Formats: sequence, C-alpha cells, structure tokens
Amino acid sequence: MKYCDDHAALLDLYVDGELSPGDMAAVRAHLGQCPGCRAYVDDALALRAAFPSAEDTEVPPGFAQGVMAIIQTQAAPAKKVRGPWPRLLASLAACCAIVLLVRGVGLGSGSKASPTADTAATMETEACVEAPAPTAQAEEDDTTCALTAAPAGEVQYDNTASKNALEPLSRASSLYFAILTLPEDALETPLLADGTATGTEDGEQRYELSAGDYATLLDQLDASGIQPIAREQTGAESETALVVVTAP
Amino acid sequence: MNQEQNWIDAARRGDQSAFEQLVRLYEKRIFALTLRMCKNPEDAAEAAQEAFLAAWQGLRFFRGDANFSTWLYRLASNACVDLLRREGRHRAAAGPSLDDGALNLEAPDHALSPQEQAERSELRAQIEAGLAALPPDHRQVLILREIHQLTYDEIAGVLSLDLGTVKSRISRGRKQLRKILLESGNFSAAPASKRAEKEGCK
Repeated sequence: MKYCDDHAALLDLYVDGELSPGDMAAVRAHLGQCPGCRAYVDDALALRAAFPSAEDTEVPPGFAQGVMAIIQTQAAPAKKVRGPWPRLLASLAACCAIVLLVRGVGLGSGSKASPTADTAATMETEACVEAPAPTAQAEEDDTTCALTAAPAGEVQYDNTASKNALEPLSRASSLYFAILTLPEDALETPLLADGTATGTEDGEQRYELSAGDYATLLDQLDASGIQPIAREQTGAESETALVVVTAP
Repeated sequence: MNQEQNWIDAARRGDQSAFEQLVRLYEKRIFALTLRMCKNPEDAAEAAQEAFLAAWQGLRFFRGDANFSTWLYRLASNACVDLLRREGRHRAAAGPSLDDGALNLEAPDHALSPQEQAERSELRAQIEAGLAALPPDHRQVLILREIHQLTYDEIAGVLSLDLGTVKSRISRGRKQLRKILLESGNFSAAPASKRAEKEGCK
C-alpha cells in the first residue's frame, strides 16, 4: 500500500524525530487514519530495528596497532613507486649528500635551502640530507626523502621554502596528503584571498596548506557553494596539502 | 571532563598512546562506515587507515567546534569517496556484490527467540544487500543515520551538505531500500506495527 504523496516528505522526518512537536502530533494523527502512511512508517521502524549495528562490525585484528605503527614510523618508505626516475634521483641525491658531508659543507639539520636547488631532485636533496642513513634509505624506496618533510604549520605561505609547489602534479601525490583542484572563483575564499600563492605555473596558482588550513578551506568552499574540480587524498605521510587553482 | 576528551587533549599534544585509545574507541564505528561504502575489506581498511592518519595529522588543528566523532566520520567519508574516485571503483561499488562473509554482522540478540533471531538475521542480510544496491550518496546518509545515529544537522556537517539535501537523500534512500526489501519478498513490518502510532524514533 502506498503512502500519501502529500505526506511523503514528512514521514521520514517523523521517523527520524526531525519534526517540531506540533508537526509530530499532526503526522501521528494522520497515521491513525491512513493505512498507507502507517505501513511506510512501520516498515521504516522495522528497518531500523533490524539495521546492522556498528558494534557488530568486525575490525581486522591488529588494525589499531597498524595505524600506530605507521604513525610511529612516519619516515618509513611509502609503497608507491612511479618508475625509475624518482629512485634514480633519490640515489643521486644521497650521493650528493655524502659528498657534501665528507667535504664538511654545513647544512644544518633545520635547513630547507639546497645548494643544488635548480634540479628536479631538489626535494629529494633537501630531505635526504636530513636522513640518518641516506644511502641505504634511498636504495630502498623513492619516497623516503619526501616523507621527512617539515611538520605542518612551518611551510604555509612561505615562498622560499615551498619549491615543492612547483613540482609537477604527477609527483605531488607523494609529497602532499591531499591535492585539491579548484576553479578560479575559489580565489575569493577568505583563506586563499588572504594567502600568497607558493607557485604559479601556466596561470595556475598553487598553495601549500597545513591540515588545519586545508580543513578551514574546505569549510569556506562549502559555505561559498564552490565545488572542487578534483579532490584526492593521496595517502602520503605528509602534513601539507596542495591546492591548485586553475587558470581562467 | 570525560575520558575521551582527555585522550583528545593528550593526542593533540602529541601523545601517541592517547591517540591509540581513540583509534580503538572508534575503529568499529569507522569500519561500519567504510565497509559499506567501499564494499570490500581491503579498501575499507585502507580508507579507515587513511581517516585515522588524517586525524592524527590534523588533530593539532582540530578546533573542537564539532564533535570529534563527526569530524572523524567526515574524514572517513572523504577517504572513502577519494578512494573510490582514485581507483575508479564507483561503478563497481554500485553493484549488488556485497561480500557478506567479510562483514560478520550476525551477532545474536539474546532478547529474541531463536525464530525471531533467524528472521532478524535474514532481514539484516537483506538490508545489507539492499544498501549495497543503493547509489553511494544515498547509502552514505542512511549509514550515518541508522548505524551512527547522527541527526540530520550532524550528517549535513559531516558530508558538507545543506540540510535539504540530507532530507532528500535520506527520504529517497529509505524509500529505495524499502522497495528493494518489499520486492525481495522477505520484508515484513510486523515487529514494529504497534509503534508507528506512538512516535518517531531518534
């Protein structure tokens, strides 16, 4: 038996307790007279009674330990390998680091500047000089170095420290925990309007945001009704998100 | 201050053991969402892991103006959507190929007779299959409403939707699910028939 069309919109709100007390009473009175609507509400409540519960959900053994193991070893090698170039560049960077260390060139542990920053290996070089055992780590995996990036909050809106934002997007998934592509009107959101792009390429504006600013930006986009063109959660153990605003 | 809030505060200061307590507290609820959104245990585990890692990375910026739980559901929901999009699995996820064996949702309810338990289990299996056949957007809101028992406002916050969209999706999703169950021939509203005239349930 079908419910009344003129009450269809109210029945789910009634079942979910989302109506005002007056409307709840009105619907309840209607249910006493309408078998079709009453059958729908009965079914909805039966569904609820039989619905699976979260407590019945089986979690894989050791899941929490697995999450914590990743957190504890945030510099561990990532799983993604994208061809020979990153691995080769990482090895090259490791060699450079060894040479620099042997020659006693001071690159303090907090330094983000690289004396050879004009190559595509800039990111690897910067990070690898901070790695305790660069040769072994670099041989194991290509993204080892990227995962030792500076913590969130230290790289926002910093033109000098943000060469990563100029890296090709194909490499960005190993450098950022999220990549958000936005239309041009996103530049009107308060966060982007107040910030400074960390890079510009072919008319695209690129921003590096901390996790907190990234969440704030998502809220501002929602409030503005601006839909992202694309949003990717990369899985990289970075604390920085890349935002790309497309060219007009 | 409750224990959960203590853990949140400690985790924000970098206390990993406190964060592990939060992972253990929420892992079932997060899996309840990711399993049904991603549809296979491997993807569900990946999405759940991404959600917790994102929580750890973002916790120091968590402003506390939303519930920790709804924030976590949002991260999990985003992780599922991103995973489905990244892997191009939207089409596959819309199919009715639920791996029931992996979900293990047949916990006995000791208040019911054996026959009632069997009927409840049958209906639960039908619900799982029906949920799997719904479009992801409709499945998502029903899971948050029925399993996580969020209000419409909370769902709107988790999914960054306006309230009208939440209402519409819940209504459509529930009507679709009911239709699927009615057509399956195994759905009977008898257990709840006395309650309809009393009031809706939160």
